[in-house]
Amino acid sequence: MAAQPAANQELTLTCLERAQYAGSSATSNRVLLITLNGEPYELEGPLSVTDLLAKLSIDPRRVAVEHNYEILKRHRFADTVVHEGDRIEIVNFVGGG
Amino acid sequence: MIDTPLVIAERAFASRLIVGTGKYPSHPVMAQAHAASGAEMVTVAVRRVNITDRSRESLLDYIDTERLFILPNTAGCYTVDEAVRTAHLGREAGLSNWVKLEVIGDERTLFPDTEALVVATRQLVRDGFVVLPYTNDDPVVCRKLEDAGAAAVMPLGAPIGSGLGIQNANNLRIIREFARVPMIVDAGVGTASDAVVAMELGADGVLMNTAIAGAQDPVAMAEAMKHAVAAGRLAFRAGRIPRKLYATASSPVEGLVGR
Repeated sequence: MAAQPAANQELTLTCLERAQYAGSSATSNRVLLITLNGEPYELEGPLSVTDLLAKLSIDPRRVAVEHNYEILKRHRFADTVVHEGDRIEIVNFVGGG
Repeated sequence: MIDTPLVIAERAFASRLIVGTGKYPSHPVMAQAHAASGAEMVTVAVRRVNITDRSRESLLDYIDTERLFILPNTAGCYTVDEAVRTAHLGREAGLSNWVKLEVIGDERTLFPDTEALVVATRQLVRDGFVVLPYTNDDPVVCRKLEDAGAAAVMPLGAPIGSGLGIQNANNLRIIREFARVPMIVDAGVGTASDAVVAMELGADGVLMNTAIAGAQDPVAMAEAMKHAVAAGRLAFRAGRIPRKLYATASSPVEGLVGR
């Protein structure tokens, strides 16, 4: 783990913070409650936006993602970690005039 | 008579018809209609992905992106903030910085909130967008949009989806006379003759969705619209005869038998 790049260090730190809050082990997965496209959504964390899209079977090349009201560039999907309480919007193109 | 292309923000389009992607009976019919229309630019809307039902096919599977330039819209937005946010999401989901800007002011008529439209145009131009605002047929508002940096002005012919045709031809002529950017008539076309009228008035292009998608045979109507836009454009360039109240004979008055 120590050899992993900065993205995972951030992830580890987040887990530790969450572990302190929850009083559980830093390495075990736990259920996160987020708001996804305006609806409450439960998922097992920790995970990145790339992981979330994969879980939802969404092609990352065809969507735009907003993370807590901030639009994420596609190259940041992999190193952006989803936290408890985050607001995530995933949009795509649909028919329109 | 060889025409010049429609040029918006230095990008050239051989077709002066822009079509939508909404309300077609099916994605395959839409794709056929797009091909029949000869259009090179299509509009799309930006909406939340359906999280619970992932089975639905993606619209983009049916858009020939090699041939069609995608213009995301901000349809359904009622405030500057919503429209700007949606435009940014559209830019991120797509491949360009172009946006068909809509800021709607009234649910029943879908008329634009022109005050908010001007503010949103200014904001998005500052953010690096090529902004094509859908507006009402008001020459003063069109001038303000131009001053705000709009790459084209897109006045309505009639309310969105109404199919009423060109309601105020004189306003469109005035807008065309003064605008320094292309004027695209957006919304209100019901059938081919409406598109002809728009082009004969001097419009640089016509944008439509429902007239094609809602026709009994969308593919045939798309082809009709291709011809209508081309015919109207040609007639405009050819220069029509003046209107006169009384008849002027087309055949010679001399040499009539029996006189």
